[in-house]
Amino acid sequence: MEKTITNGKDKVKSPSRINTRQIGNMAPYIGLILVIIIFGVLTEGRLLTVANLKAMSNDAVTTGIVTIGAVFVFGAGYFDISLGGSIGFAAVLGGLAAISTGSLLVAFVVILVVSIVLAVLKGLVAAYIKVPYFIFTIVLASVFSSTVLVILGNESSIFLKNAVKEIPSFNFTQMSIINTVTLFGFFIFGLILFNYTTLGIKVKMMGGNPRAAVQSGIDTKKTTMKLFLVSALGVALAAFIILIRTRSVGGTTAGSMGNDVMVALVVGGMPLSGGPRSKISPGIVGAATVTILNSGLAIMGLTTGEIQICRGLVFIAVVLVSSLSYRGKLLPR
Amino acid sequence: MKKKLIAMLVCIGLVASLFAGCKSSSDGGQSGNTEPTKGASQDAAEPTDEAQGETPAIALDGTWPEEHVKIAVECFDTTDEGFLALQSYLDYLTDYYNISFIYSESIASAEDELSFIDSSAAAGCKALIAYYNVTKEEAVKACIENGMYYWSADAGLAEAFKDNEYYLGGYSFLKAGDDSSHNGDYLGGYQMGYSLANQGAKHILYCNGGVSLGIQMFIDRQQGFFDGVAAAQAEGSTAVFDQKADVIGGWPGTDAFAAAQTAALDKDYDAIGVSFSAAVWFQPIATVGKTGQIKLATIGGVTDTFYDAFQTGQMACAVYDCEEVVFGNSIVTILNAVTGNIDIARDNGVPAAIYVNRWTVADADSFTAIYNYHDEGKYFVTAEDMTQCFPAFNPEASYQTVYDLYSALDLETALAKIK
Repeated sequence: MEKTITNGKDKVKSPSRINTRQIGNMAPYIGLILVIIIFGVLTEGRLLTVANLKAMSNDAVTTGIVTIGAVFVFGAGYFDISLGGSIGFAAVLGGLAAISTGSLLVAFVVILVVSIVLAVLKGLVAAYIKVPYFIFTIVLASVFSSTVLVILGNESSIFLKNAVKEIPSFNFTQMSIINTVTLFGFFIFGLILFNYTTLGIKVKMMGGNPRAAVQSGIDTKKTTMKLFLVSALGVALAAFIILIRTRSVGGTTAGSMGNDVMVALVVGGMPLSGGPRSKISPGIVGAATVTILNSGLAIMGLTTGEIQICRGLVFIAVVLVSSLSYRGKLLPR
Repeated sequence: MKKKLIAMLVCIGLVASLFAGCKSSSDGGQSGNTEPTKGASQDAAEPTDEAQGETPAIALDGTWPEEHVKIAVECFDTTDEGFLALQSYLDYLTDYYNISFIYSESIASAEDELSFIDSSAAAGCKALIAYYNVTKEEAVKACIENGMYYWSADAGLAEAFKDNEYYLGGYSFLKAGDDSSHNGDYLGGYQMGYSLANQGAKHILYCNGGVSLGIQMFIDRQQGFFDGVAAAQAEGSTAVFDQKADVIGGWPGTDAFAAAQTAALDKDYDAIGVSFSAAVWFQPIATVGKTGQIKLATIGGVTDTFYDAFQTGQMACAVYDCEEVVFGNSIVTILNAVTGNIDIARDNGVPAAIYVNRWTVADADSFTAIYNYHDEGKYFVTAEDMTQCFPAFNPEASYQTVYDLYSALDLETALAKIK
């Protein structure tokens, strides 16, 4: 029987408590597997055809990449709702660069630079200006979308086909390869950074208790800048992939990404408040679950209302099961 | 314990996945078919053979085509009244043909669009009706890669995909040889402007919607409206209309638009042309006590929204794209394509451009007649009417048969049909 020592007294953990916590920790994986099994059966196998797996990789990759980067920001307690706006802004500027030069390389560099600049801006506000960061990102998201409209001027969207010289396009299979390599490459990068370097530990400590983190000797300002730069890499990769996949960007590009990332984080088993329970896996698990769920519901041919009801029920179920492991640990309020 | 549980669940998942995968491959892997001619030519044999003999007696009871045809429909707003009317018509057709539909959620971005196309292909859809298109060519390419036919109203795509038989084309508001700048949106605007000025309006206001954003649809409608008013003035209308002072831009829901509405209602306008739904004017007009004093013209459907407005004399005209005429021809085209009659689906090897009429409903009686006709579950193009376009029912069917069926349906013909 497992024992722990608390305040000098032996405290015995009951088997049921252990099971509840373990199930809570595994809930995201159980949810993912259940979603695969249930929709695999309900769609008579269409969910798992090669073509649909490729399609789902296209859908999951942007959410996955941004979520991996967002783990660092949300993990440290910064609730960032402007991720979609950042992607759209970077993608539009990258798209304009591609159209005016005919070069995807130039587009990528522009997207990367823009993403880094935006990340530095966000990092400076988060680290040095004591305003509620969540409110700041709400305003920032609005500013991004408005700026995009101003930049686009008389156009609602811009298309890579209008570039000064032809920009190579990628077919379905090529995009699937690019997506898979990028997603898993960035996941491994994030995994190492989060689990095997001090940055991950600092992020968790800052999210758990910023004051304690400072008193532990963590340079929270420097760490904040670093974690926003990691997030910027995810934003840049996602913006570039959206640009080369859709070959068009506009005011609505990545418009729902902010919500998708939050759903992926929650479904992936990470509290949005960050802290010690933060983990890198939601980038893959959460994004995959959401994508499979959406694809399965769409393949079944349900109406829009039915899809929304099913989606909501699944999310509620996963969140409830996930919360089993930490609800009892909340400090009394 | 933890490892055992994970292993067990993973095993169950893998077994289910393998089982599911096997079943899917026995379906023929239709979603992965990317060879343009394969599907069409294989399916072609049956109807062609039938066509060579006597007219086969095929029941119109939902059993034809022999192989079930699933069709995806992409829309921009699932609550749009025009889309809901189309949805009702398509659902009506499922009682007579062996077809079913998958409808998109409200498509907001390029990513949503491509995702919906991929999901539809995985669901076994054989064609897409593009009631909306965000990514233009990319949407068509996605359909082609997934082995799905693409039906659209976007004439701008026809040139790029004219040689690919998966691009079926769609309808056109222009006949062959018409001035291409006078497209459907131009004509819609023209009809609104002409109707208002011709019905005795003294001072006209125009809401141009997204002109300032450079949205072509609104630019064309505005130009049409200007020309329509000018044409009526040339015929003797005394309506006053200044192309700068009497135009307001933007959208409902913004402070700027609300302010412009208030300012406009302080003036002496007695007619307003609206390049989107004129319903946004009902409440402000009522608030200032001008109900019945201002006539509205709109691009919109014969729907509940405008029914009461027509009855109370608030509407001067509604430019109406009758769903079964304008979009209904997509079903004929798609069913011909999937049953191997691609020569009927397309026009001599080029994408279809079936001429259809926009109906300008300018009086309450006509509006009510059309509204009631639909309300009784009747349609101007019935499932039975459509059979003449299919070789399985009519061996003489051709592209011209389809063209004639739909292009003949103007407002006058429709009203005669009701009587």
